[in-house]
Amino acid sequence: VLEVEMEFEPDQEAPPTDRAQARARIVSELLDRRRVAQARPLIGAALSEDPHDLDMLYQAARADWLEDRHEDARARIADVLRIEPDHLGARFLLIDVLTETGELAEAEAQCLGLLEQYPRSEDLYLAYAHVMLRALQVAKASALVAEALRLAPNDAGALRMRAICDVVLGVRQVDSQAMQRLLVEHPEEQGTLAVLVVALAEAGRSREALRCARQLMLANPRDPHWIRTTQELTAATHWSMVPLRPLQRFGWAGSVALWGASIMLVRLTSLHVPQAVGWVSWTIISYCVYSWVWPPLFRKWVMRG
Amino acid sequence: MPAASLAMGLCAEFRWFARGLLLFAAIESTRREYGEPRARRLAENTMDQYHGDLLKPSLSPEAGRPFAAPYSTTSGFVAAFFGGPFGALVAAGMNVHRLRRWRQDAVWFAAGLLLAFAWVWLLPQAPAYPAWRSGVAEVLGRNGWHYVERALSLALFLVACARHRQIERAADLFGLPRPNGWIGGIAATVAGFVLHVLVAAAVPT
Repeated sequence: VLEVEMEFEPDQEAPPTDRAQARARIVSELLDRRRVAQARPLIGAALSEDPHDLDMLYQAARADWLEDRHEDARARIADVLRIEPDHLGARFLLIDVLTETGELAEAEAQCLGLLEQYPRSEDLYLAYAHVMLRALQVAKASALVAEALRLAPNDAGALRMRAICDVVLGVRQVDSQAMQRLLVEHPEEQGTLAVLVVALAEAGRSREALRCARQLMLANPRDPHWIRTTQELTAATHWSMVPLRPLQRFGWAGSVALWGASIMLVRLTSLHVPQAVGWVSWTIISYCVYSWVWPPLFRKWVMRG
Repeated sequence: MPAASLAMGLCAEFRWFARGLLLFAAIESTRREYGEPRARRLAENTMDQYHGDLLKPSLSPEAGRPFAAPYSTTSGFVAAFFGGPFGALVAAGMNVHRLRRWRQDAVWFAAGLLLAFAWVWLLPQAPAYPAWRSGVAEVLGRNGWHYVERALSLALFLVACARHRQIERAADLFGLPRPNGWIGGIAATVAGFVLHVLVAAAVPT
């Protein structure tokens, strides 16, 4: 439908406000699908007709934000807020931009300011939770998500954020009720798949995570995040990583256990088969060097490809 | 600083625990005496109070120094492996300081410090110390005592990892830039080694 709508210019005989609204709707839907390149000409045309078009200025800020042009996005947001200081979309976007640029105290102040005006907005609690997670305030983020879920128990965004908090808190994927509800109630949403990738990768189930990430990459071929994630998971599931599976699975506890087992193995070998001590020691050292050197080298090679 | 933080942390934990117990008792007794609607109103008022706490700024300049991403766990491992128990503690302390978590981690940090002092300063004063050393050497070989010491350091490192696991996950999830792990790791190793030597030198002969 969007493709068909884009083929046609908005009705030239319609009143200018209707034309502008139709164009703004098309731009908004394009940006919802991250199709910034297609939205840009429409935004440019609209702003050349009316440089103070509030909707288009806001959409321009969204386009800049999607292309990681944070300074441009801030300038556009400032333009919008100069015309309409209470523009909700622009203020939400400002929180995202401030969070992304690491200005977390300002992002928090924005969240609190908006929450004073809209104390029952679950989206605001979720935005605040995102800021808190980014500030590594896991407990507060979790409490804020709980509040959002109290206000909107079936909201997909709140369930997604709950599932992300569960991943951070170390709740196993099968035990995460939010994850289960997302899969049952919103299985068709890309956001569900995105959270599933994070949860599976964190649980060490890289192959399943890779399958999901590939689907997301195919759906969003220009999104660098999913390209990078797919590459990382491809590297993690390569056959040359199979010997390192225990270390990947158990992390530093696995490394410490490996060190302890090596000490015992070398000691037992020296007591019972002294002539094999050299071989055993060199095998262990080779394994350690392999585990230390190969994964980053291979990952870099895959990322370049 | 850790002693003051320990006291403050314990007081805060006790206050929250006591407050929770009192509120629970109050809601239950209201339910018994005045019925469900009144108990629910009390619970809602309590939620409002909790809600007020939730909306207190945590990152504003008034809330104190901003949080910083922790050093990578690799630097902690290096410090524990080569810097001994004090190296592990210095690396853990650096992260606790960056994350502004002295109040939450003070008890654990103090326990680790006591353990390290006990190992380096107290244990050598035990009459059976030479016998223990030779016993370990019989089982694990000439370097057996050092292996046990390293195991203790690595155990301290794992405890620190477990304490900060959620924060590490969040930092990884957001791809936060970490400070230079080599500098942190080497600094903690050197500091741990120096502390070890100083404490060991203070053992009365």
